[in-house]
Amino acid sequence: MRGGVGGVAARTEDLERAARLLGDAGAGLVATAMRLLGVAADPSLLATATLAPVSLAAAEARLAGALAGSAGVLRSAARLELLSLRLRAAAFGYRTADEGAERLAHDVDTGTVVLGAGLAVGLAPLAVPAVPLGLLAAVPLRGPHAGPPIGMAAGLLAAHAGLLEHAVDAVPGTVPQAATAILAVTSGSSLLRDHGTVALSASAQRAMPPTGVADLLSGIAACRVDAGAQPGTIRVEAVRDADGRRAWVVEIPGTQDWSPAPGGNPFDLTADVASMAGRPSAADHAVAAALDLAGARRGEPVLLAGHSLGGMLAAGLAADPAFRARFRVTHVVTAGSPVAGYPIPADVQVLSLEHADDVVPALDGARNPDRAGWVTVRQPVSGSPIAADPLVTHGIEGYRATAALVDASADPSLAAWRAGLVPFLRRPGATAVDLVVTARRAQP
Amino acid sequence: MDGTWVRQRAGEVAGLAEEVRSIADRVRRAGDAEWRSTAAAAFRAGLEAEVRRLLVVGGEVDEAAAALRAHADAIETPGPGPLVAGLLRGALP
Repeated sequence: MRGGVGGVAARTEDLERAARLLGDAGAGLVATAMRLLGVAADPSLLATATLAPVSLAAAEARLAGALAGSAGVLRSAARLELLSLRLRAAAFGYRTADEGAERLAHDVDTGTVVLGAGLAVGLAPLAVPAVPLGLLAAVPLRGPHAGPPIGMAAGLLAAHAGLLEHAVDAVPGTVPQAATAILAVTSGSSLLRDHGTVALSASAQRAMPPTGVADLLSGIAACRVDAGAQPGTIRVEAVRDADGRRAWVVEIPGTQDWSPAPGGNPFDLTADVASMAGRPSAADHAVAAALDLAGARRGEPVLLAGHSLGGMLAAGLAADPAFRARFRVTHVVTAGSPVAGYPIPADVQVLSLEHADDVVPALDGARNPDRAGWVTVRQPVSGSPIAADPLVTHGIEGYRATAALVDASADPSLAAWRAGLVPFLRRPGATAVDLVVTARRAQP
Repeated sequence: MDGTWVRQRAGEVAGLAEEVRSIADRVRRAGDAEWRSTAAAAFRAGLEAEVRRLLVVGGEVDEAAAALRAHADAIETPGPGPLVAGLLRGALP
């Protein structure tokens, strides 16, 4: 924060320079990837298959691995971009903190400032939007408090991922813009290209209707490969009440395949980028096709629930007039998804679960709309102020625990929101059928 | 196209592997920023892991170059049908 002597702990210029360095390194890797792609796809090289097909196949496989494999250039480029973003967020937090502290120093003495910061820290989990950003992270960095409290300030940055929203909002180019730019950069290749068609297979079984939000998260968890499901699985539950009226629950998993090369599983990085850029994907088509396959009729209420990418897809479909013309989306539940930018109509009831220490829902650089029909539950999960494990803070198990708290909460907003869920939930006379649908992206 | 041409492409790819290693060196320097805190320590640990991954990536690109060189050798090695191969070679652009 402050240069030179007296407990300097962070020099924002250094952080910004390092962030630029990482950004440049990421861009350099993308350029390297494009040149590798140029060699791999060179028609003259491919023509040598007539002379030595086996060795060419081996070379092409090596080139593809180096380009887009798990230890490939593209994945490293993406990770460097993320590291750069983290540094820029940290630099932004420190700089804003410093400016806030400067302003405060004009009016109050150090003791009062520290007390104010302490209060802000205590209130932050409850009312982050109401707390001046500078107050959140700034004050412990200054003067005689610049020793151990610097860890507190950095910890705050890590613990309150909401700061990332401000950072993402402040840096040139938001994530949606970046997604569009990525699609433009890769437009000459097959990477991240989604032609949007899917093939479905399905099996049906009798089931019990869900009892609450936690059960919806359990349904999503059951779609995961590590839970034994086939890759590309979503669940459609038909809940029928005693009078025969039907309501539909669709449970959508998060990203299952991180390769930039679109493969058979539609819940992949290609769908992430498409959704962030506001473009349709094979995963969107999978949800619509699954509802069609299940026999959902226009006018019957539909609840879309998703974790991470699944929540983005749910929000995107609820915001899509063409989808709503076919299906009456009344409710959306998202967990750990950056959904603030999706124009979901006001008559759709939205519940967003966001862990304050999960950076993923903060990636859109904005807070969710504050309106009667959109409730956002935001709380930390890790219990650790720093270096929280993203597998814990973003994982569906943590979100299921948060959903259980929502189910048990007496908060009037949550109680009112849950009351609207009745057509989708277990009650006397209600029955349910689960359709487990596996979607495969059809290759062109 | 003959083995020499493929070997040139292999050399190009080997150069890309060097570029990746050079990028890894630059990435390591990002850890020099003056920033002390536990979050900074976590960031540097992540950075070091990324540098190690980049060296692995460089190795993958090296392997691709080696595979191209092997392909060049295969093109030049007379197989069971050298006459056919020779005819094809002459027919290629």
